Amino acid sequence: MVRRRNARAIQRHAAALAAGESNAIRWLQYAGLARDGARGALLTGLGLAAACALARWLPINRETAVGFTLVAVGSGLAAAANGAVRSAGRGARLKWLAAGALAGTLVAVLR
Amino acid sequence: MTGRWQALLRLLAVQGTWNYERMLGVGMGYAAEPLLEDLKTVDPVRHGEAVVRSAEFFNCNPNLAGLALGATARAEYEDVPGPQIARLRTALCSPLGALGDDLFWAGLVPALAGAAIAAVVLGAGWKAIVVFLVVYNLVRFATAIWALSTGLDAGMRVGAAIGGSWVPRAVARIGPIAGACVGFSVPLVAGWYLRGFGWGGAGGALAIAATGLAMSRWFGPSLSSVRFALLAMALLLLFRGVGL
Repeated sequence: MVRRRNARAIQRHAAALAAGESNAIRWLQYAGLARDGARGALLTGLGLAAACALARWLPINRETAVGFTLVAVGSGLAAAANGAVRSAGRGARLKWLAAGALAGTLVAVLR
Repeated sequence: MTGRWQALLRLLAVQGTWNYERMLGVGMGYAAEPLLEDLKTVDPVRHGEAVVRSAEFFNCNPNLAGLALGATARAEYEDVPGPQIARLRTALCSPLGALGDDLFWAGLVPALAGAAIAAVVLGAGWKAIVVFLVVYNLVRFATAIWALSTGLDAGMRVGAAIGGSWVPRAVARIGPIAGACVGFSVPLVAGWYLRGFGWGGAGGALAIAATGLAMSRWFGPSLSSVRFALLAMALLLLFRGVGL
C-alpha cells in the first residue's frame, strides 16, 4: 500500500520532476518516509492489539500452549533450513553450510 | 564539490520513496541534491537537467548506491553528455544490485546473525545482539562512505574501480562464512528451544520442520514459511477445538 501511494504521489508530481524542481523531490522523499513511519507504527500497534486481544479472549490450556510452541519452533526451523539451503546453492557455500550444521549438532548434543 | 556528508546521510534513507515505477529513483535524487548544489551557480541549465536525471528510475542494493550517486554526480560536473550518464546509471543497476545483495543480504547479515544467535545460545546473552547491531551498522556505514567517495573519484570509470576493489573479493569470501555460521546456529537454536520438551516434543517439532521444509520445496513461493506456520497453528487450534 505504501509503495502504491508513493507511486501515485510521484505521478501527481510528474510535471515538477520533469522540470527538475528540487523541492518536489524533497517533498516526495519526506512524504515517503512519513508513510513508511506511519506503516511501521500502525503494524506494530495492530500486532500488539491482536496479541492483547488473543491473550484476553482466547483461553489456551497448557497442552495447546505447548503445541503452539512446538509448531512455532518447527516452522522457524523449516524456514531457516529452507532459506539456508536455497541461498547456499551448490558450490563451496553448501559444503560450509553442511560443515557448520554438523558442528552445531555436535555442540548441541554435547552441551 | 561540496555536500558529501549531507549526501551520505541522505543516502541512508535512499529507500524512503521506494515504489514500483522509479524504485530508488527519487531517493537518489534527494541524495544527489547537495552534491549538485555547486552546479547551480556554474551552469543553471545543466543543473536542472542533472536534477531531472538524478531522480529517474534506478535500482540497486541501497548499501552500494553511493557508487552510482558519486559517479553520476562527478560526470555531471565533467560535462559528460546526458544520454551517456543515463546509460551509466542503467548499466550500474544490475551489478550493484547483485554485488550488494550477495555481500549484505546473502553474506554479512546471515553470517553476523548466525554468529550472534550461536553466541546467545552459548551464553553471551544480550551483549551478542548489541555487538551484532554495532558491527553490522559500522560495516554498512563504512561501505557507504567508501562507495560515495569511490564513485566521486572514479566518475565514468566507476566500473573499473568496482572491479578492482575489495567488493568482488569480499563477496567470494563472505558466502562460505555465512553458510558455516547459519549451519552452526540452526541446530544450536533448535536444541536450546526444545530442551524443556523432552524427546517427544523435540521429535514433534522436528517432524513439523521436516513437513514445512518438504511443503515449501514442493509448493514453492506460494507456501511461504509464514503461511505454513499460520496454517499449522490454525490446524492445531481446530484439532484442539474438536477434542483431538
